[in-house]
Amino acid sequence: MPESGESPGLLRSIALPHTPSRSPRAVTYEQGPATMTFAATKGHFFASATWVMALAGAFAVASMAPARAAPVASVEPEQSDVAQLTPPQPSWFFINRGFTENSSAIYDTVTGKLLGHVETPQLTDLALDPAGKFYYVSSTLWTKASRGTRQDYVSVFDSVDLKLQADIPMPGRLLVGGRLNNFVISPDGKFGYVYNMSPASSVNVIDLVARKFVKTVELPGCASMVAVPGVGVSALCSDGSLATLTLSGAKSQITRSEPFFSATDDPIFDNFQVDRAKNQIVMLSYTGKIYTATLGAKPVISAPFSLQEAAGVPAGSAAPNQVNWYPGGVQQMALHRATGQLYVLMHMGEFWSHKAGANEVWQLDLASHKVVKRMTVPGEPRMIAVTQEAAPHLVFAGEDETVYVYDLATGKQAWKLDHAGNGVITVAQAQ
Amino acid sequence: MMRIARLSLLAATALFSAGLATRLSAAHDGAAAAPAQHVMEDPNQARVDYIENCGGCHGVNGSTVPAQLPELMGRVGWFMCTPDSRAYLLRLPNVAHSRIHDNAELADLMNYVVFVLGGNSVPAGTRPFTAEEVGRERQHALSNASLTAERLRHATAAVKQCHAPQSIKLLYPGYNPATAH
Repeated sequence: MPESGESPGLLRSIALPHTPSRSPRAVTYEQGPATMTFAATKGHFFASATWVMALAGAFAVASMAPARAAPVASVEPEQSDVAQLTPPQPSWFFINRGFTENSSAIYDTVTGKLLGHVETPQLTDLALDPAGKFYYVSSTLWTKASRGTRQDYVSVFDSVDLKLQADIPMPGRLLVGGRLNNFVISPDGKFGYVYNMSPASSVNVIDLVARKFVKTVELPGCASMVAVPGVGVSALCSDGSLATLTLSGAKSQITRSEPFFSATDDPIFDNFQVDRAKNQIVMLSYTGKIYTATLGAKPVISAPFSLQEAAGVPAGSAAPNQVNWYPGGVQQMALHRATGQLYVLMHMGEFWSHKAGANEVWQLDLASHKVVKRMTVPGEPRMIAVTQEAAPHLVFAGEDETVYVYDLATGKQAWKLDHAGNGVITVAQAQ
Repeated sequence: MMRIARLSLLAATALFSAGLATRLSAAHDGAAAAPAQHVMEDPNQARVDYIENCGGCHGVNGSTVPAQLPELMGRVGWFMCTPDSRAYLLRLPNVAHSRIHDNAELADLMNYVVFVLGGNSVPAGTRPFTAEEVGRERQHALSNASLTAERLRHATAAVKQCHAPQSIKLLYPGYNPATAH
C-alpha cells in the first residue's frame, strides 16, 4: 500500500478496495496529462487510514505542482556516470552470491572493495576470457520462469563496462550449480565447452570468436572437464579413468586412460584445479589422495599420495567410523600455480563427510609432498580460492555468506566481507 | 505417492501373474514375459536400489514426461527385444559402472526396471537378466559411442522385430525437443 510520502503516480496502479454501492462520490484531480478518478462509498473509503494518507499526499503534491517553480540549486548539479573497470586483475576474485542473488560480485583483495557485479543467475556458470576482454556466463532460463520453453545460452559480457555483448544459443546444459569445471574455455580463448546432458552426457562446443554454437559431442559416463590445448577436453569418468575427447580432427574421438581411481569407493572431487603453465590438473579424492595429471592427447597420471600423511597424520580411509582429518566442502582446494602451493579445506570427521565445512586450511607443497602449514580458519568455509599474485590472498566463504580474505605473507586476516556470497569463487588466471 | 507406487507395483505383478506365468524361454515364442515376482531374488531391495540409484532422474515410478529423459514406464521392456539391445541396457555407463558391485543385486535392479516398470512392453518369453549376464556385459560399458544413436538403433530393431510402437524411437510418445523441459 502506498504511504503518504510516495509519489501520487503510484496510486494509478492501485485498484480500489471496494466497489461503490450507496451514495457514491467521485474524486477527480489532475496531475499533468493523467486524470484520475476515484469513486468510493463514504464509509468504506475512510475505513482505510492508509488510503486517507495516500490521498492527502496526492492532493498536496497535485495542488502544489502547477503553482511553484522548482527551487534553484546552490551548487552545480552532479552529473551521474557509470564507472569503467580494467580487465580482470590478479588481485580480484568473483564470488557467486548464492542461490537467491542473480550475480557474481567482483572484489579486489588488495583494497577489499566491491568493484561490480557480473550477471550470473541461479545455476549458471561463469568463465573468464583468458585475454581478459570478456566474461562468459553459461545460462538456462524458461519463458515462464520455471516452466515454458527452455532456453540455454552463453552470455558474453564486456569486462570493462559489464554490458551484454551477445547471447549464444545452444541446445542444453546440465543444471548444477557450484561447479568449476562444467563450463571451461580453451586457453587460446577461441572455444567454450559446456557440459550437457541430452540426456546422455555430452559437451557443447561453442565458437567464441564467431559467437556460434558448433556441435554437441557425446562423452558417455564422464563429467567435469578441462580444456586441453590443441586436442579438445579431458574429463573424469565413472570407470575411474580420465577420458580425452579429441575435437581437432574431422571426427571426434574418445580415448581413455587406464582407470586410476574408484568412482565408487574413493571418488575424486569434481572441482579439481588446473595449472596452465605446467599443463597439469591437480585432483583430490574424498579420502585425501592427491593425483596430478599432465594433459595431452594421452594424459599421464601420477601415483597418488596421501594429504594426511604429508602432514604427519594417518592416511584417510574409506572405512566407516575412522575419525581423522578429511578434505571437505564444495570448492575444496585452491592452487597457487607459480609456487605449487595447494590450499585445502580440512575438517575432523569420517569418510563421507566430504561436504562439511572446514576448521583448518592445509597448505601443501606439491613438489615435496609436505604440508608446510596448517591454519585455523573461521566461518566453517566450504569454498576456497587463492589469487595468483606474487603476494597471494586466500579467499574463503562458509554458509553464512561472510567472505574472509587472508594475506598469505602475514597469515593474517586482511578483510572480512559481510553478505558477500557463498557460491563458487573464481580468480583471474585460473583457467 | 507411496500408495500409488504400491498400487502400480501390485498392478504390474497381477498383470504378469495373469499370463502364462511359468513359461520362461529364450525365444519370443508367444509366451508371456516372466512374472515380476519370479525375476527378482529380492524385489524390495531391487525397488530400493532403483529409487536410490536411478529414481532421482528417471522418477520413482519410471515416469518423467516432459523431462528430456527416456520414459521407462510401460516402454523400457521393448529393449529386451534382441540380444544386442538387452545388452545395451547393461552396457549403459551408469548401469555398467553402478556402485552396486554385486552382479546378482544389479540383475535384480535391472529386472525391476524391465519387468515392473516396463510392464506390458516386455516381449513375450523374455528371460530375466542373470548375475552372470550382468557380470559379462558390464565389462563392456558404452564409453566411446553415441548413446543417442545406440538407443535409436535398438529402438528401430524393436519396431522391426518385436512390433514395438514407432514412438519407442522417441524419448517419450509425442516428444518434441522444443517443448520438453
